[in-house]
Amino acid sequence: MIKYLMQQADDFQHRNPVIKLSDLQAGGDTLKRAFPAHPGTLTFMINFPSFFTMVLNMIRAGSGYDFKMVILPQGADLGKHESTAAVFDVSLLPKAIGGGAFSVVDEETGEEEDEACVRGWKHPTVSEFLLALEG
Amino acid sequence: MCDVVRRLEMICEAVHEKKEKRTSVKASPIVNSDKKINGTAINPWTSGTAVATALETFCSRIKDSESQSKLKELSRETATLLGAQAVDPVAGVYNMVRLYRFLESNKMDVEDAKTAVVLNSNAREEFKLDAKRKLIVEEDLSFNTLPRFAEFVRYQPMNPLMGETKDGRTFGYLSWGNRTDFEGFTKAFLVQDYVDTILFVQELFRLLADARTAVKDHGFGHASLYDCSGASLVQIMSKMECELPRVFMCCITFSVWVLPS
Repeated sequence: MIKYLMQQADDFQHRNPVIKLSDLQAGGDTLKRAFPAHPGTLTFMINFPSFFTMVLNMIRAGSGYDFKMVILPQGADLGKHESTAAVFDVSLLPKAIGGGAFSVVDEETGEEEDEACVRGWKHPTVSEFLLALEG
Repeated sequence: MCDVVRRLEMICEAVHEKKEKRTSVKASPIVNSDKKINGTAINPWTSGTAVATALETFCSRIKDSESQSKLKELSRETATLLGAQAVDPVAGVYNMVRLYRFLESNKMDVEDAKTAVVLNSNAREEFKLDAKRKLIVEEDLSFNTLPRFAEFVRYQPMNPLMGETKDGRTFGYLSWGNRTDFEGFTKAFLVQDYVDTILFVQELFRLLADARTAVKDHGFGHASLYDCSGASLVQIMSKMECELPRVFMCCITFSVWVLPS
């Protein structure tokens, strides 16, 4: 396992010579300062490597932050599990994570679905968003 | 493995130290209030519209009188420190909705919230967020048309605002897994470019969130769905180092659902 990790770390550094971990930390700090945590935030990590649950436990134990964590069994249906079904209408979630929503990349031809609901997804402009709220 | 553990311990210590530093810091604004008052005010909302009215009346609609008076106090204190324009009920960045968020994030402690607002104001100055806000409003942008966003999502699929949860939060999607082209991403974006793009996304997101919360009287929360399918350990680690302190700051009273792959 250690050899595997070292190899992955070497590969990553080799492939990404520009980015240093300190840069990423600085980037994270910038975002935290400019946009402090939004109250009422929920974080869902879907298909998170099981190895990393150990890391989360370590961070929880070491940092003193008290957060709740529910570990669902592998392949759990988000629509059937109480914790996720209570929050989401699963049909609105991206297909990529087991929901029912997708976007169409080329509207004219109706070709190519994006299961992550990113490409081809039409976001409203500021004025359109405000207009919708007015209604 | 020892290296990984040591690095995690260092992150935890750093987060702890910052938290302690933050609570003891005596914050002061970078710019004086005169500059703020004379600065260009960007009004994203047309006067007389439902959003403008909702923002103006937000405080009076809070049912709990103690929370209401704390919010008024925070608004007064912020006006003294940053200038009246900053807390203008309609045009100000620190409108009542946003100030209420700071109060909630700081367990309704006015002093702590005031410190957080000033620190945030300094960060806004440093990262030129008012200029970003101005561009977003004047050009009437959407997430699709934010600078470099279309390019960004080619490498890291992301949909910041997909819809509403059952309890009125917004929710968004971000890939950390095999849908992300980390190699192409790091060639196309320097860390500063990445941060700048995310700052644009967050500025627009908070702008819309203010309006939504004011009108709907709820919707403070947001649910983020991180798709980690097929992610390699190192990719997640490198992303986590940037994002996780933030994620865990959010998680103090909230939940994380983890689906092992």
